[in-house]
Amino acid sequence: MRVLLIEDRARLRELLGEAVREAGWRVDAVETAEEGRAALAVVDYDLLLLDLGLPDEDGLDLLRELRAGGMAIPVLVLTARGAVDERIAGLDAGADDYLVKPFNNGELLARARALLRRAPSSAMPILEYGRLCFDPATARASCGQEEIPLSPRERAVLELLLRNAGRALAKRKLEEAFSEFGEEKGANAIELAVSRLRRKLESLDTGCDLVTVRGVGYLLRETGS
Amino acid sequence: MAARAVPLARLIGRRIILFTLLAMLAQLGVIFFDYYRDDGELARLLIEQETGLLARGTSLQDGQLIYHLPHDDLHRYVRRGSGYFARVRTEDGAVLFSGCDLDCEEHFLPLNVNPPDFWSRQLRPGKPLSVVGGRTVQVAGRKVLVEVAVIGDRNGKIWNVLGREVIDHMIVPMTLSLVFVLGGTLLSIRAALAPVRRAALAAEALDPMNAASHLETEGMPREIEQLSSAVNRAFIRVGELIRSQKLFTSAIAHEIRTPLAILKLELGHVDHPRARKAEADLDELTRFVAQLTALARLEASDSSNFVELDAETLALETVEAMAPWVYEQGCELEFESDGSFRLPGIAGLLRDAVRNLIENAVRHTPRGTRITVRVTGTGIISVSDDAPPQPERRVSPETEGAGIGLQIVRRIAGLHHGRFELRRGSSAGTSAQLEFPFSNKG
Repeated sequence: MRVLLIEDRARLRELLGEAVREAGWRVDAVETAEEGRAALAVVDYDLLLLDLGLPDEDGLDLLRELRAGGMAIPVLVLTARGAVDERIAGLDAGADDYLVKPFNNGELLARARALLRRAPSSAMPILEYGRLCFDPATARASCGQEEIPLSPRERAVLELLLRNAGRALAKRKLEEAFSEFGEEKGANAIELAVSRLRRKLESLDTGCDLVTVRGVGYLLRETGS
Repeated sequence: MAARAVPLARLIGRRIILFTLLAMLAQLGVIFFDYYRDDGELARLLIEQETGLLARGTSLQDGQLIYHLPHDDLHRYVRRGSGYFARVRTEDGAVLFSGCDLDCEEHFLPLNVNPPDFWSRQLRPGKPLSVVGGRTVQVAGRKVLVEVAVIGDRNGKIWNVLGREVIDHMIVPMTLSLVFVLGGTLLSIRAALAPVRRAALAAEALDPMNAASHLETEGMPREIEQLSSAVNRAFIRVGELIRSQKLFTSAIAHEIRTPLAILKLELGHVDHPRARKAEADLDELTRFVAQLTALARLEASDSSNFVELDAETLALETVEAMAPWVYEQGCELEFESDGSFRLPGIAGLLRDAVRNLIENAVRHTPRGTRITVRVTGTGIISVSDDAPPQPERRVSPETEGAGIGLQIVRRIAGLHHGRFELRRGSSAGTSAQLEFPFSNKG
């Protein structure tokens, strides 16, 4: 896993680099948009951490240019601009997520992992959350060393939950996924699959909690235990 | 001030009438003085008036000219000792009427004299007037001579003469000019004020929350255009202030947030309970900075960039985004909707309002509380909780940053022409309610 960090504040660059390295990833840290552009041209990165207030150029302009040039890797924008409108501007410019300063190591890594899980050409072929593991290639789910036997529907739900772990997953997204499977649609089928999956997960020490957010959908969250 | 404001047309109309009356009074004085001084002219006019009145009594009956007094007022011409004498005769000397004794006959023209069209002679200079004269009138193609002698004018007929002169030379022309001047003035005031009225209506409709609003100055009289331009300049200045405040707040936010980020990352490397405590304090500080900048940003927001929004989508998105945090805090979150509504607004601010209310609910209730965000088709977004009343809140209002969160919500509601209300139930739960003017289209 290789990460490019573009951040102009020296101390922040050091601390962020340290945090990413501690997660076991390789990190290249540069100071300016120009250096970042040069690095991206020669190395295939899996993730870009981009600060918006760069000395030579606005980060959003750089991002727009990179996206226009066909760059597909996930981008996590780090910014002091907290206003919602600006967040939306960032997402419009091609950011995959937005992290407002200040944040701690845990938040940074959680967001980065979430982005990698959601990335289409995932640099993380195996989805991990808490003690849960899921390999989309073999459709095998496990908790620690123990394999979890799942029906196809339950597997589909689990994969979608893991790809959206830590975020509320709207029920309509599950419905869309089910209709793609050619399965019968409707809330009942989904609710049934979710409740069966929940029962199976509850019997295990997954370190996760699957909650129903009524009126919205489902939320797979780490309990930290 | 507004209650005392009088329309310009009425103000000017009143003045014009007042000055016209003054001018009439002055002219009355002048006319009166002019005529009263000129006895000869008065005498002539008196004869003209009296002969004119008397001449109406002549008529033709069976080919014969006859005469009778046309008016009761003229009986003075038959009363002895009245000082008024008259004789009406034909061209060939036949007398049709005579209220005259021998005394006066001698003042009149002899019967055999072919009379002139008009004559008059003053018997005595000064007042009261003593005058004699006559006039020839045509009745049925025949000449009739009306002669009059007024000795002393005891009935004051001279005043009738003066009155007629006043009417002829003053009242009629002055009234005509008053009508035209007043009408013309009122019309031009109306015409000149039309753009002003438009500007006033436009000014009335100006949205103080929209710095892009301004008055159209085209077609205005110069004085009013100056006023409108001054108003527009003030609006431009407000717009500039708003922009500079936006710049200011985002600069402040940037300068504070980056050091906070460094601090927080550094603390992450310190493995000590006191570091965790410091991190929590840092989070509070961050929240406060965020609220301050949100408030400042809100001050700088106006309705010029409103777009049509769907309330249900807005609220649902906010609930989705907030759910992980709410569950992390040990509370539950749910969303209900019985139909959506549309409103013009700024999506970011409205999401902020709902987020603030959810945060507020979490912070003021014990763990395990269920928080419900509800959208009703009648223009209401509410955030309520099912917590019993808390004598001891988890966070006291003092540490809440003086309730900035709710203040922000109130401002956001106000900016969107809505209302914010916080209802603390006596038995269960608090309900925060945002009520907006809405449309049900779509």
